[in-house]
Amino acid sequence: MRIKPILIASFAIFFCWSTLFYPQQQIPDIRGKIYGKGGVRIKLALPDFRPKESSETTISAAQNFHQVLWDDLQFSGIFQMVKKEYYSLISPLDESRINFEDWASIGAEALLVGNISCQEDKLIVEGRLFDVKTGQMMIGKRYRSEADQSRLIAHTLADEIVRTYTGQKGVATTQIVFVSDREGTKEIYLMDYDGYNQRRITYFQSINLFPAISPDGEAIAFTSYLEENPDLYLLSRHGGKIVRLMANLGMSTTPDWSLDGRKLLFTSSRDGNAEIYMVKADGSDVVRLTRNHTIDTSPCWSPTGRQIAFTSDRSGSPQIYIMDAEGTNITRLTYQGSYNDTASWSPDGLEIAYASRVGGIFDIFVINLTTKELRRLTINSGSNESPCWSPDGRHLVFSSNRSGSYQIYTVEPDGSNQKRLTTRGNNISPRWSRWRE
Amino acid sequence: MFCKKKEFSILVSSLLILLLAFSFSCAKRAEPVKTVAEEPVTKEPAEEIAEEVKKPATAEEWEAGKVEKAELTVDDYNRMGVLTDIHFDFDKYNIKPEEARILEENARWLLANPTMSILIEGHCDERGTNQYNLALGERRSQSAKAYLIALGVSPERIKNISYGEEMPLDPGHNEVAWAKNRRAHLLIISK
Repeated sequence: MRIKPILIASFAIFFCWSTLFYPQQQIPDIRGKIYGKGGVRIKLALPDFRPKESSETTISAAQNFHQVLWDDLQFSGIFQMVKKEYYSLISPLDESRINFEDWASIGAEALLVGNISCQEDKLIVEGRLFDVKTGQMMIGKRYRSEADQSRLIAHTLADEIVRTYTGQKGVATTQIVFVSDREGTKEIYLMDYDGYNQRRITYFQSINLFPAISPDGEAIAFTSYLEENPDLYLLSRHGGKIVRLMANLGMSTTPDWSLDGRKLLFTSSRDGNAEIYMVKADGSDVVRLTRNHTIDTSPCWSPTGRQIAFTSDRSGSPQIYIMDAEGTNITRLTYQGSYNDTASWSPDGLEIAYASRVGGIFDIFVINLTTKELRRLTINSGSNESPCWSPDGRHLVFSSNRSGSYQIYTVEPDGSNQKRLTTRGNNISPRWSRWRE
Repeated sequence: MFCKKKEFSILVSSLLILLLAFSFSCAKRAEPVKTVAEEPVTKEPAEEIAEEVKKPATAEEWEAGKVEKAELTVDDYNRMGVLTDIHFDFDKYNIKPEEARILEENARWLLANPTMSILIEGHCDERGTNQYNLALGERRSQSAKAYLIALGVSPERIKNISYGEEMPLDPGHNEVAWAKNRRAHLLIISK
């Protein structure tokens, strides 16, 4: 058994940011508005980052960095990027004396400028965000890191820019854990939120399923047949330790972390048939939450931790139910569709995404918990399964076999901007990480 | 009781004979053909090898204990298919009447072979979610286990496991494959 160290990258960066010499003015009144999710998108101009040295290393570093930042901001769901071809229509950018009227003339509401320097294997990046109308600098950041951490700096800067407008960090530094059979057996893999840095985490040569990454990003809970029974395991990224939380007590599947990372919900058949249980993250204090003779599975916490969504076939077919965290007040949520499973609760607590079978294949649906209104995110595009919300609620990740094999896609909550992240083998059961503050 | 023992020994004897006969016939077929193909001109090697082939044991030899007795392994039993899998309807885990008869046959064999322990694997077709199918497979293995227990097989002899849709018998994406894959597979694990 060999376990690769994960996420070392994130430690390699030194967050050496500082407020730059521009006086930081009051941020314009933008926080009350809803950005993304069908709201207004801010028109953002992002000219090339200026290489501070004329060396080839610096020039290509600046180009790569700019592309990653552009992709991050475009994906964020907050911005409408002002097209690059317009930038040549106005006078060239002078960082020290920006002509904001020029930028306003091509439709920009916000302007992000920056520069890059390579010094002794270190990358130094400066970025400044301006409100075009007032000419005020909204944020200024400087980052220094190892030269190979360019993507991570771009993601970090993108998240800060999103935070400026929404009051909430973006998701560019988050990760997605999933199952892939690209190298034979179904093993656990991890990738950046944009599909980059796909790396294998387990080398068990057995079936591994339902990975869930802990809120602090330090551990992955999953089901494995490593010891010839579907047991629950915990893989810690420090030293790649693996712990079997549940041993030979029937099956233990579909773990879901509480927001504080102290507890897990999971499905177990230890007392007979599949029921929902809660356990402390060290495997102690197992509490049974459901009691009936039919299948209960796929538990999912509400963002407050006060409620749990799960699947039950107590009505005769698998449907989504909600109960209190103690297992009381069980109510049925879904009445449409003959087979609904894999609930994922939106971070704002207002909606639940799930997979619903329509004519033999699955599509992703979102139900509003107040109005019970349904929204269909996928249609006529293969079988679409296992939806999971991004921590900011502006995206979902799911798996689909629309290409002929199962691959992982992201989508916005209205069904737009479906983007494929994986290519090799079959890739299923994606789970978006939470934020790591 | 006597009758049962007799039946049992006849069953085991006939199984052993079948097994031995099978292995001999294999040897007889395989080896000479290979040699002939390699050296078609010379007769000698073919004849030599022909001599090495053992004749199948006759009934007299068997009774007289002249043939070395081989122990059947767990793998042998599974290969011979002494236990039969049962199948389920789509999204269901109840035992259908025709499948119940198969389980009754399985139970008879298990009661006649009281040292054997088995593992019942619950499987599903690919059409559900992986999550739900794992629970459904568990239910199928439990249904089969409960039925065998009701027929008198000791619970300690039966383990069960679910593989959900992870190990299809037939990798096809059609109704024939799906019907094959919705099964409880009975596997002998110790004797």
